[in-house]
Amino acid sequence: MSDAQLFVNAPEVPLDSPDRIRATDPTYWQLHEFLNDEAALLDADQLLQWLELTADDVRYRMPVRVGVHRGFGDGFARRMYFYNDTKKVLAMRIHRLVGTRNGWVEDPPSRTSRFVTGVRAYTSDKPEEFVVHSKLLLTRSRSDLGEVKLLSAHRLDRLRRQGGDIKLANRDIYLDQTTINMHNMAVFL
Amino acid sequence: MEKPNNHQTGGALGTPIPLVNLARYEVDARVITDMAIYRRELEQLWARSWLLLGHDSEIPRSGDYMIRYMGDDAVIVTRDRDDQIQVMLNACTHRGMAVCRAEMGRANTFICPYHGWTFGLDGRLKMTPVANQRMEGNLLSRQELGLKKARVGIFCGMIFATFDGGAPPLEEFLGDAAWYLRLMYDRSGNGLEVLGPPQRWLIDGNWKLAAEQFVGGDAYHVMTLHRSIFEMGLIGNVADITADEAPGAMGWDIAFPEGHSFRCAPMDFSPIFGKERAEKMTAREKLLALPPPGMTPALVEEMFTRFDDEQLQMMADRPPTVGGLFPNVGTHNFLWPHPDGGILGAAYGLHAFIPRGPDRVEWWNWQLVEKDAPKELKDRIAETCIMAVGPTGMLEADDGECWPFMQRVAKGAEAGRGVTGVIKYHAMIGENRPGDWPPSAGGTVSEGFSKDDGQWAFWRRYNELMGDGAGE
Repeated sequence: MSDAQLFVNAPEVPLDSPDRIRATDPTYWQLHEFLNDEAALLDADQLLQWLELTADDVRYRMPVRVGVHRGFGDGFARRMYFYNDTKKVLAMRIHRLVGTRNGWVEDPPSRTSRFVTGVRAYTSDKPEEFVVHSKLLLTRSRSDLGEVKLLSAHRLDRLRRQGGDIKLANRDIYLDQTTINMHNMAVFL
Repeated sequence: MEKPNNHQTGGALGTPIPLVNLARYEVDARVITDMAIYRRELEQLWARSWLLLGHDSEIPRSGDYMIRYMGDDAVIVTRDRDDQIQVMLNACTHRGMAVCRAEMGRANTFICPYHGWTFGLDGRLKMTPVANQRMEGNLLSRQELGLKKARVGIFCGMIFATFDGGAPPLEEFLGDAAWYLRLMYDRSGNGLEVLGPPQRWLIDGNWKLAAEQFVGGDAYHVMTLHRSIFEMGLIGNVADITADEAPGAMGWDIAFPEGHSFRCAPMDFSPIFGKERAEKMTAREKLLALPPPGMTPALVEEMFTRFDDEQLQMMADRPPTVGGLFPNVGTHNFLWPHPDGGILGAAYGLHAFIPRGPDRVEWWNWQLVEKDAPKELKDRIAETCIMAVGPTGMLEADDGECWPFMQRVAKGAEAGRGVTGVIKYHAMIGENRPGDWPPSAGGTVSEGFSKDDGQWAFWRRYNELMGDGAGE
């Protein structure tokens, strides 16, 4: 069976790894604070400021998922995404929303809240980079409909110390949903 | 049971309401919201059309399966032991439980989780536990208790199916649209493959709001709804679509009596090669100089052996870029740049709009690449396709913005009356086929600014199927 070729698994959860940065370590809280801060910027529609928190070589991906039986992995597509962006693509998406007059999808903007939890941090093969897992719940309210749309995901990030700052160097977003319950998506997770 | 005719399906109010007014090119807005009309569509339209279920590269090996939808019915699409693609209703013939609940996978049999009835990849009932108790009883034989099978048709790797034994063959259903469809999806020897499973997302709007735009090849909306793309200079600039003349919106709408249509766009090689040289270039030179979206010069050489001169001339000068197949398929193939530079990307693939009740539609987006394209090009298209199309696409995110709001409008009592109460297709060109249009290319050709001809072909076909026996 070569079904492993078809799909990618969700990231592993190494609780006892020697690389783990425990919550008693101040580094853990610096990384945690970064995730809270960037979520706050996105919630506040400060998209250009958020873009500044990404590294120039950032890769931002959200693969398509399908539900498969146990034994077939976690059903994440290898080469089919919702986002598969470099920094210039992220910048282009953001420019369309804030720099043109016709980014209808987010004008008026959605009202969003990002709830970040389940943060686990690890050292990596590079001394300046950290592997950080988090869970994200995104709520999105649009127009005057009472209904709130939800997206939930596991995020696997690489965060990099750069000068005195922390930058997002890589983000893989592993959705829970196969079918996204939103009519479009120009918000970042 | 007496069949209501199409002038009475809005009959909740007891008054005859023509849904599609052929004389006035208008559609009653009630087709967007009415549950009775939606149910009639399931019976009259979805059950009688050939429906796109996916691409054969999604289930490449014997035993591969996937769940797809035909109207409101879930079906299992399999590749059986004889390498044949089979489509069967995902409903156990015993009590109606879904026998397959994974969306994709690989199996030898489908075992209903409820009582264990076991079906083969071809839908045959293989066994019921416990064998010596004959739990299928004596009224029906095992042969009669197989999963309900659909007729399957494959065209350019696309898997179509219908449960209607009386429907014409797929080739007849496609009609003259097949000529243009081949230009988009049948260019190379080894054909196309999907980049992965389709994107899927839900929109709180009627399926026809999406379908009439795509199947009808609406290019008019581009200049307003997608204006940001021109402001950014991605596929043209604002001057191309200015309200007075809009030179960038010129082209050809091709409509077919089966309800399909395509939009062909002019290719201008003079900015690259200069006017004088461009005028002298042959179709082959043009296609090699700027391969069609998703192709390489090597693949273009293959195309030369598959297409005749008329087809190649069309590919070079007036390729089909968007369009669709009745009732719910969108087609697209156009270039898309990547801001990092390097090789040109493309938006290349297929859409399907799956009905989920009168006020909800599920949009599916498959991305296609040439099987024999180099890895770099496949990777590039995996980046650029979703920059343009899909829920995050910079084009289609805005398309999705319209339909929920149109749905809300259509529910209003006042919006359902008078001038607002009909959806209008008053801007018709009709046939004005250019003299040099290839004789082998069928369809009604409307040259010029994109008007309502393609979408009206959708509604004409809709009217035929929803009417009382018309169109048969």
